[in-house]
Amino acid sequence: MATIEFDEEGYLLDLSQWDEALAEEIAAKEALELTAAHWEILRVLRAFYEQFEVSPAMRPLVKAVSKELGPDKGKSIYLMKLFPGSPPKLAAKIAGLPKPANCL
Amino acid sequence: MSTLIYLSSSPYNGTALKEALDLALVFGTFEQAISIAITGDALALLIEEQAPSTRHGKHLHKLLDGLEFYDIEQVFVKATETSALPVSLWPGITALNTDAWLQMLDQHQHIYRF
Amino acid sequence: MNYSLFITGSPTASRACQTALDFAEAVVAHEQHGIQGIFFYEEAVAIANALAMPPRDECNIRAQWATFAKQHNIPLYVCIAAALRRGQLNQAEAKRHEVEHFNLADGFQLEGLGSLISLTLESDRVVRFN
Repeated sequence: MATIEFDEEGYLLDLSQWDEALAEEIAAKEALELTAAHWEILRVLRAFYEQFEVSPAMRPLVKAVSKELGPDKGKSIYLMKLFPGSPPKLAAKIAGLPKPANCL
Repeated sequence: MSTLIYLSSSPYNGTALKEALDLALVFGTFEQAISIAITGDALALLIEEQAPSTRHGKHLHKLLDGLEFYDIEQVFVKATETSALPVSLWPGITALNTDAWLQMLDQHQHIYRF
Repeated sequence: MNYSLFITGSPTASRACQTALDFAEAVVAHEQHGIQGIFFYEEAVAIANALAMPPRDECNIRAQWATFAKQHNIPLYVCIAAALRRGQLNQAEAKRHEVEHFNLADGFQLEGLGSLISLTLESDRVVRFN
C-alpha cells in the first residue's frame, strides 16, 4: 500500500487515496469524531467537488447544504458546530479535497 | 454597483479563463453583484460534452453549473455569435442583441477583461 | 478620482508593468487624483521575483515599482494563488509548501483575490494593464 502523505496543514496530497476510513483518521487528528451529521455534510461537499471541480468557500457550501439537506442544515451556525473554526476548510481536509481558495 | 467579468480568451490556451473564473467566484463569495460576459474564443467554454484531460487544464465547463451557488446568475453572450455556432451550448446563457449587449456593458461599474 | 491598477501583463513579455507605472506617476502628480492600490495578477506576478536580474543598463521595473509604492505609500498586492502557481513565494509560503527557497521581493505582498475585491469597492476606477 502506498504511503499516505499530507501537506503541512494536513491536506491530503494525493486526492485519489481518500476513503472513508482515512476520513475518520484525518478527523481524529483534528480531535473530531465523525457522526452521521458530519458524514452527510462531507457527502454534499464531495459531490460538489465532483460536479464542479472546486472546493466551495463558506457561502456556496451553505447554499449547497441547504439545497441538498434542507434550510435547517444550510446555515453557517450549524456547519460551525460540526466543523469548528472554518467549516469549509476543515470539512475539505476531512473529505480529502483541496483547501478552498480565498476562504472567508 | 456591479462588476462584470468579460471573457474573450480561449479556455485551453492558457490559465486566463481559470484565473478569471476564480476572480468571479471570489466576488460571489464576498456577496458582490457579479455577472459574466462571454465572447470570441472564450465561447468554447460553453460547448457541451467537452472532456479535457488534466493536462489540458481544469474542466471549467463543469464550473458553469456551480455558478448559482456563488449567486452568479447572469452569463451574457452575443446572439450574433452564438446563433452562428453549430454546436449545443450550456443552457444557462442569456443571448443579447447588439444594442442590449452595449447597454449591458454600460450597466457595470467595473469590467475585468480576460 | 480614486484609482486602482489591475496589472495582468508579464514584466518581460509585455510593457504592462512599465506603462502602468507611467500611468501611476501621472495620477499621483495631480492633487485631485489618488491611487488606492496596485494588484498584480496572471503573468504580472513575475514583477515581484527578487531573482530577476535585468542588465544594469536597463530599467529595473521591479525596483522602480517598489520605490514608487514606498514613496507614495501605495500597497503592491500580488495575487497569492497566481504567484504560487508560477513559483513566486514568500518565506511563509515556502515553509507551508515545504520548499527550500523563496523569492518575493521587498515591497510586494502576497494577498488573496479578496484584496482585489476591496480595491474594486474602494476605487472610482480600476484600470487594467495587459
